[in-house]
Amino acid sequence: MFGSRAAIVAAILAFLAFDFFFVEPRFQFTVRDPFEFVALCVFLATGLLVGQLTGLLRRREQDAQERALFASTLAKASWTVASELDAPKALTSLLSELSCIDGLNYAAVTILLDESESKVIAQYLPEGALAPDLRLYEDAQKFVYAQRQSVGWDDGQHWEKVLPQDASSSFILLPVSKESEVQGIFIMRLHGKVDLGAEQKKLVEAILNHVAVVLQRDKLLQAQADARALQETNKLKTALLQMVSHDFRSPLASIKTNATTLAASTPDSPVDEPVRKVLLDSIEEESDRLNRMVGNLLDLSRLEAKAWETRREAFSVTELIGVSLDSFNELDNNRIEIANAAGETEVESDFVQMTQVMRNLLENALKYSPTTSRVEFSINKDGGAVLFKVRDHGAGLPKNQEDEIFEPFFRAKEHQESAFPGLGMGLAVCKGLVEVNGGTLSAYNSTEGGAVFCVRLPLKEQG
Amino acid sequence: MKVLVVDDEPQIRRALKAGLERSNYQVRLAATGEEGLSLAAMEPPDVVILDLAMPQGDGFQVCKGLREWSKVPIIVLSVRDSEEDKIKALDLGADDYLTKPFGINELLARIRAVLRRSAHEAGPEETQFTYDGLSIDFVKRVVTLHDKEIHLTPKEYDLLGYMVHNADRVLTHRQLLGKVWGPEFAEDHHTLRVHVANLRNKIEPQPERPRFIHTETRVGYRFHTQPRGGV
Repeated sequence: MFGSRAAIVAAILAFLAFDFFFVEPRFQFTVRDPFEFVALCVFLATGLLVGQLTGLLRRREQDAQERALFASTLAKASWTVASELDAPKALTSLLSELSCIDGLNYAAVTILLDESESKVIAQYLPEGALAPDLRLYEDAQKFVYAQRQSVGWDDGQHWEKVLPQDASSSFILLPVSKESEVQGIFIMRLHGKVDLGAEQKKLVEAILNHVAVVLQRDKLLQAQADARALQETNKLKTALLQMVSHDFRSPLASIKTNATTLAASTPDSPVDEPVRKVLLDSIEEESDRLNRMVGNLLDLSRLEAKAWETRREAFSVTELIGVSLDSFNELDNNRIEIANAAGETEVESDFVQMTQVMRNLLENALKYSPTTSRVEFSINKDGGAVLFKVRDHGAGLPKNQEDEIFEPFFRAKEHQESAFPGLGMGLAVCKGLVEVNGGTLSAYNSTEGGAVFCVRLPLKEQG
Repeated sequence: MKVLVVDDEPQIRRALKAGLERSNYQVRLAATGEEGLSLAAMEPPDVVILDLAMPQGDGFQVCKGLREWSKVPIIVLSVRDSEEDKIKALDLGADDYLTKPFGINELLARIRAVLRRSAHEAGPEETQFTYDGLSIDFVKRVVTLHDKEIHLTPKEYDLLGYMVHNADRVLTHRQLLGKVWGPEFAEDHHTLRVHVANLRNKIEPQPERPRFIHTETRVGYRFHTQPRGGV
């Protein structure tokens, strides 16, 4: 506030006051003794010098403070870049570091979408300020992209041609680039026709560098995610092929063997009636199995493509149970006990898909438990949802792999040789179907032995 | 009884011929829609088995074509996950459907069911119906289950009656709603569902394991008078 001019004035005033009050003759501005005059002059000189030095010190301190601020801002910016992986959040945080620049009342980072439209991905707007209509600056942005030049940053630029005239604020547009590729545009709006000081420009450039790093990293993370997704797809495809060749051949082999055995029957060497029955029943069973696998295969390919369409409709729990049980023969049906505490409660999902899920779960429960044991199918209301539980009294889920069983192609180690093929796909498909219908599927081992599978489906919305 | 089988796959034609002839049906085979229509015209069959999965939508053409001049019962053969096709065929006039792969017994049961219906249309109305403990007296409009009278609302009675008169045959939502409530209600699936649920609660020993009224997913309902395993 006072500065060196004040120091000069203070020194002169002190010199005059000292002369007036303390040097003979008192209360006059004259000096009698020449030595005393020299002393006074030295006094003045000292005062002036000290004043200047203090002023210098003060300026140095101010500079130091500015630099400290700059350094801490950079430190914060680096920290943000390092710790915040979400690009828009990181950028917003970086932009807010610019709030120390006087006169800045808007900052934003935009990216160009397909040649024509630009999108703001982060912005800084101090309280009370209005965001500008960036559509007015589309041309300016395109210019920056095309020419890789800044607008309003260096003196002498012909930015008046590119920017709309607006006397109340000045705009600065800077390209954000890494390795000569423009990844985005950095826009600043300053109040009035402000010129940024050198230190402030350095700050802006430093922030800009960080912005470039964030944008670059975001691109790389996206590429990494895409690569991973592709890898997953390939893994599924390979597993699918392996499964088809192994699992399908198995029932086909037994059908062929049985059919040829029957065909080889001659009057001289007939196939006995009981044996005939067994072989024929087996052919029918294996055909059904193949049919189910074809179905699962179709579903699995849709799982991979995430291409399920759901046709939501409201249906009652009773109806769902009825249709799910329909596909089981009498023997199996007798093993399934129903405990429906939800009555005619209606849920809203894809009926076909949900019956498929229930059938799958019931089938597994029947297969993975002794033929003399029961399978309990219980339904309860639970808050805003219906809870379906399929409980068997078999060996239960493989220990510590309760979550893995829902991965496609999971096979418990004991079942590697798969006396029961199809489990590998079934649960992954079930989980996918349940989730796409807004529900959840989970499983755990019951404390009394056996596995429990839970499906939660949302209730039909009232209205 | 004459059966016309229209299917473009030779193995299916062979298999159906063998299976149906064993049950004393006379079987005629057609490999294309066109062939099917001309055979149907030359030698009117008693029932038509029509594959929907024939190339160029042939199956639907046959259905449509036949219905222009014939009331012969049509059973269509469909593939998994093709509910829209089934509904379309039923709306075009098919009487029932069967999803491939199916056992021969299922087909025979469906054929019997559609033939029964067409016989009824020609002859006098039934006055009584009994199956598995459920008994309906159509004259007195009384329904009993194991000799205990069941009280049904008028709509529930009409619904049950219509289903029973078409036992073992699929009835689409549209057909049920149209017949019992009227054509303007053909899309009101919710009302139908509620009434079926109420009906089930009244006549089914265990509503979650319906013995009588079966849901045909996305298509409609079917009143079963065949025990499980036979259909």
